[in-house]
This record gives sequence, C-alpha cells and structure tokens, in this order.
Amino acid sequence: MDWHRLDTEKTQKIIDRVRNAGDSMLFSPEHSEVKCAKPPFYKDVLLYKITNFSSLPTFSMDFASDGEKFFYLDGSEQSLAQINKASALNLTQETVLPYLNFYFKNISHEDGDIYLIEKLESLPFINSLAPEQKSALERHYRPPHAVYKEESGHFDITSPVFYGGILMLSKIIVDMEGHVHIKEQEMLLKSTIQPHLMEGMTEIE
Amino acid sequence: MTGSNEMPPENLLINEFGAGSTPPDPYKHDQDEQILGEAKDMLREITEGKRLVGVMERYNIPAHVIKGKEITYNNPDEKTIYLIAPPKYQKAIAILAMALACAIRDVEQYIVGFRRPSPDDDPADFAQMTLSKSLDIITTMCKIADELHEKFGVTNVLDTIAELGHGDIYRAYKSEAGYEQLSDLFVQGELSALEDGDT
Repeated sequence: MDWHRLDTEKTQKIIDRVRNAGDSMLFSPEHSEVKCAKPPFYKDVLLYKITNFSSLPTFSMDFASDGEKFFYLDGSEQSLAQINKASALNLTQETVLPYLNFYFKNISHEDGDIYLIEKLESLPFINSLAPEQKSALERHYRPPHAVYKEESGHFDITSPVFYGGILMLSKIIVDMEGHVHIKEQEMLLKSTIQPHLMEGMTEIE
Repeated sequence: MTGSNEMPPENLLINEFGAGSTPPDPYKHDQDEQILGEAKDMLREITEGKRLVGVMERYNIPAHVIKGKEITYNNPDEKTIYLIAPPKYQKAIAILAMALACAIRDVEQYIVGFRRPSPDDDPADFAQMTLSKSLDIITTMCKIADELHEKFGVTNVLDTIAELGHGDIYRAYKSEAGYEQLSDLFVQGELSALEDGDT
C-alpha cells in the first residue's frame, strides 16, 4: 500500500474528527502528521495513520474510514469486524494476501505478533541464524500461496509465518467476510527464536 | 510507505466531514484499572520500579490505559500518562510494567525540570536534549527489564529491548558502561536505523 501525507488542512480535519473530547490531548495538529492509504481489499475504505511527533517515543494510531465513520484499529478482532461489516470487502486472488497481512498487522495475538513471510530475505534475523538453520530454511521455504475453494467459498492459504518466536508453515482459511482461521501449523525450524538471545544479551540459566 | 504526493480519491474524505456526530470513546481499555494495578504491583517488587511507583503516587500522576496493538506509552503534555495495551494483555504484563516505568520516568524528567525541547530551539540544542532524554528513558528501560528478569525470570522484556534495537545499549548497561559509551551506542543505533529506513 502506498501511504500519502495529507496537507495541513486535511490533517486538522482528521484530527478534529477522531479525537475524543476527554482525550483531546493525544494529538495536537501542529505536531502530528496524518497519512492515508487506499487498501486494495476494500472498495470504499481509506486507512489513516496519525502520528504525534511531539512526544518521545513518537506515537501513532491507525484508523479506517468508510466516509461516514472512523473506526479505531485497536488490536481487537471486533474492530476489524466492524470495518468489514460496514464496508464492501473485496477479496480476490490478488487482494487476499494483502488483506491477510493487514489482518496480522492489526490484530493482537496473545502469544506475540504473527508475520507472513512473503520473502525469505525479509526475515530480520535471517543472517543471524546458524548456517545449518539458514540452509534448512532456504530448502523448505515456499512463498505464500492462495487458492479459492468454490465449494466452501473461502480461500485456503499456505504460508510461512513467524509466530510467537517460531517459524511455522501455516494453513490459513480466509472467508469472504474477512474472518481468519489458522487451521494447521508445522514448525519450519526446530527451535524458538528469542531476539535477546540472538543478540547475545544474556543467557537464561 | 512512499513519499509520493499523489492523493487517494478525494470523495471519501469530503463525504466524511460535516457528519457532525461525536464519535464514541473507542480508545479506553475496558480493563484499564486492572492493567495499571497489575503493572504497578509488579514494579513494586523491584528496586527501581518501586521508586518510580513512589514518584507516581507522591505526585499523583494521572494515568490512562487505551487499547492498541503495540505496547507503548505517550505523555502528550509531559504530565499525563497514556499507556497503550493490547486487548488481551495478560501474557504481556511485564512489558506493560516496563512501559509504565518508562512513562513515569518521562514525567519525572518534567518534574525535575528536564523539559522537552521546543521545535524553536537551536537545532544542536534540540538534538542534544532529545538524545539526553531518550537515553535516560532507554537506560531506565534496561534497568527495569534487568530487574524484572532477575526477579520473575521473564524474558519477553529483554526480547522487547532487542526488537526495539536497543540490545547494544542493554549489553553496555549490563557491563556498567559510562554515559559517553551509552550515548555513542545510541547515536550509532539511530544512524543505522536512519540508513535502513532510506534503503
């Protein structure tokens, strides 16, 4: 998705529209920027990212708008379900993977973030793996693949994912309402990735 | 993201304004008090955490919890804490405690007169103040993570520091490096992040 920075006037209007009366201090128009993107999987929804640069660390909130209402993407399934209900979700062979990426990026999972591995070289720790781990991963890696199932009316997606510190090969169902269900998972690497150990910060006794 | 100036369809924006309705409060976490209570309880069990919770109580620092996917904090007016917590927070309570500690430290900076730089400041002063304030917060983060790890055996706080790109600073903190070495590492990390962002 391409994100476009809005001009000052539109930035002001968006911030006025989304800030809650009780929490009006969260975004100040003079120190915030608003970016906007048109996702390929919605027919009539724009995404907005509002970033406040006046605080350390900088702080962002993401919204979706159908032109009538603004929906705050708060990490819950319900927030996305609201948008999918209000909008015409356009899932096709071309848009289902971008949608799945969007879903994982915006929905919080108890055991940690889930990332689709669209390219092996995009794995942040690929060069930190032991040579045998790296070559095993390269041997088994297949890019994400989506198939539409006419009879059941959903997409079957097979994709490598990074979930809870583990590289998995996952079979995922995405139905036409945008619900996502992880059906099966198998480990691609027989070890858990712990960023602090990879960086040699400390060894756990 | 791109730097393109091409705009998305305007009609969606134009249609939005003038609706005139007040949006509901979509931000407040429905378990806000519970999260703050659990995070403070955890901090009270460690030395630096206990000190910071004491600061929060002594100065009656207001704190709110809002829902969001990424755990972080924001102190928009330097005096009020907004902690951002995921809908299901239980497995991440140590990370939330660490974020709360950083937020309190941020307010403590304000209390002792260490204010945020103004965009009108001389650029060199602005950069120096930003570096000092950020490094102070990151050092607090390292201290809290270390104490939480020692006390509770949690490792997700250490993973978070590594994922934020502060692993080198944590290592230097653990080896009792001085301010100069820590600030060199911080500047180096910021420059690397900038270069990565450009590619």
